[in-house]
Amino acid sequence: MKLFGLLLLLVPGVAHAEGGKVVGAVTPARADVVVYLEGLPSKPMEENHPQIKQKDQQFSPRVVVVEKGQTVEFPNEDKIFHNVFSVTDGSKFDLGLYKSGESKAVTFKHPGVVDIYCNIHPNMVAKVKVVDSTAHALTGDDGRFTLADVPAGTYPVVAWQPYGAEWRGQVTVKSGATVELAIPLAPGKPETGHLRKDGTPYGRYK
Amino acid sequence: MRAPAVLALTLLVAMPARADDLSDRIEKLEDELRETQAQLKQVQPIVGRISGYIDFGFFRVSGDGSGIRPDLGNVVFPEYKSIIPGGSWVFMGDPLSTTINARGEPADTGPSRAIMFNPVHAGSSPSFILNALNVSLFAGIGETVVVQGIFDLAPRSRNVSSPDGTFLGDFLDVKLAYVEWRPKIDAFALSIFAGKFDSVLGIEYRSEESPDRIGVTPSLICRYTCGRPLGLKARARFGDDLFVINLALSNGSSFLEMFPFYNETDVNDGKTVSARISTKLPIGTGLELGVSGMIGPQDNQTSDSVLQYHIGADLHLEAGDLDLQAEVVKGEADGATDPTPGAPPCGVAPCLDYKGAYGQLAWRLTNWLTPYARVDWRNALHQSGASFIYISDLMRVTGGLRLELGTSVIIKAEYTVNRELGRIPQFDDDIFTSVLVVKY
Repeated sequence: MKLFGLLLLLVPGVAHAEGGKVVGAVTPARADVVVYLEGLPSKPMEENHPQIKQKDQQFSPRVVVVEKGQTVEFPNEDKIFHNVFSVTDGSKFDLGLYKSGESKAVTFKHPGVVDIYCNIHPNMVAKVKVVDSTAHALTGDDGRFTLADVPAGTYPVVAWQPYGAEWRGQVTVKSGATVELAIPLAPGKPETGHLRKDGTPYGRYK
Repeated sequence: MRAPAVLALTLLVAMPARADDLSDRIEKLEDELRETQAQLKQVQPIVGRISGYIDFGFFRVSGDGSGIRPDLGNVVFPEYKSIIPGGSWVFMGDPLSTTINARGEPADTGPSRAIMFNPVHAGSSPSFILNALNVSLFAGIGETVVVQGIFDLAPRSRNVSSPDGTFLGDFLDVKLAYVEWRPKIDAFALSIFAGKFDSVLGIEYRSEESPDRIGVTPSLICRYTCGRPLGLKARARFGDDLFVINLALSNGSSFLEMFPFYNETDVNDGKTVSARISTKLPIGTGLELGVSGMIGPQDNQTSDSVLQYHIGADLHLEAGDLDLQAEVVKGEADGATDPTPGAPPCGVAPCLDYKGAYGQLAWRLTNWLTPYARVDWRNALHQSGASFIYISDLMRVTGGLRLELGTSVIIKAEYTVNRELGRIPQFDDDIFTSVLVVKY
């Protein structure tokens, strides 16, 4: 038992008591930054399926954070065809052509970043950040985030953005307490192009 | 108790060996995957695809199938009596107003003298037509170079007993053939084209192919903006199309090949410059506003000092299920007149003075049904010495339905009311046309 207790102390983020809260903001303030804690392995959430809609020839939202093993729905709300796909290593999928009223789903099994595109409309771009963590949040327009019900402990904290480098730090959460984090995160440049699902460039500009 | 203990001990001893085995297998699979991907890249340095469509139609145009009538006896336009006595070559109306397909071919050119090629030649008869067997060739060479070609195979009748040669018969129309280089630049998206490329003027060229076009037929001003010139072009797109600039240097104008102001290879030394600037505002899917222009030596004549110009503005809004598109154009080809006293105007090179516009509204009622309406107008004077004068002033109203059955089949049908304006008397030239388009 002594050895087991020592192991518990060495493993970051193992729950000890009542949860605390981590709040903060990224600077410069902006939305769609994913802030999450490592060391809190995700649990399957079959009932919770986030959506990435295809609406007005755009993905909405353009950034989604999900836990490893979580399923995302891709409903088409446009009355034109879209073809959602990803060629990200380890998370490749191709949902084929479908129109308004139909929805297809993908389960994301591996942590990482999955780039989502439409094979018809090159301007449709979304990113799914898959985390192996139960403590994660997306920043709002004001750059602020809240991680609630975090078990007391010390955890690596990561701020990931769709374009540009991520920020890594550490946070110690105490039972019933709120920790404030200020995360400096220089924005990167968005990508200027990508290929179709078959590896060819998109066709004529229309 | 001893047996389970032995079993547990055996498992503890065996687990590391099992883990090592799995690790080896994963490593081997990863190596094989890397090798397979490398081989795939070697055998596919050029990735290409062939696509296209078949466009089959049925149509009928009232009257004699043509959109013009001669001013016999110079009754309506007596001011041209001194140039063309008798008026049989003074034409009222528009020879391309009775188009029946996406290629812009009229049901009949009638007695036309400027547009002589009469590929459909159906008169007022209802007729089936295979508008085109379209083939599109696309190849991506690496990630930054694209080769694109589009051609139509157009089966048309040939009257073997006709001595005047206006019945070409089956023909091949190379519509696009270019190489595009898309260098990787962080700040903006740049494309550089060489070959026969899409027009820089306006936006109707984007829907020139039958599956892309909401309706069946082009607008009255497509003859000025939809042609594909030969030369060099650059397009720069900034910030998700917030600002787009196109610039082209070409042999001739962006007039359609059907229209007698077009030359693929040049007959004069000067080149034609055309440009378009547009912005896309975040309204609905996007409100695109553009202005475009072109200037250069007039097509099909040898002097560099005889100019033609074109200016236009365009709008495209997609909001919810609505699609609104509108354009307005104005232009002039100076032409040239023999300085000899009494010589008819524009006898050395034809003159053209035109303006026109269209607006088209489509509503995606359901996934498969899109009703649409278009109003277009053209006012033009086109003359060539004593050879011909065309006086065009007309408005058309088109209503139609577009049905999309699955991903490959499109059925479209439309009716166009053709109305002559001003002093031009009304004549029968309304159009019913329909198509079945199957993409492959």
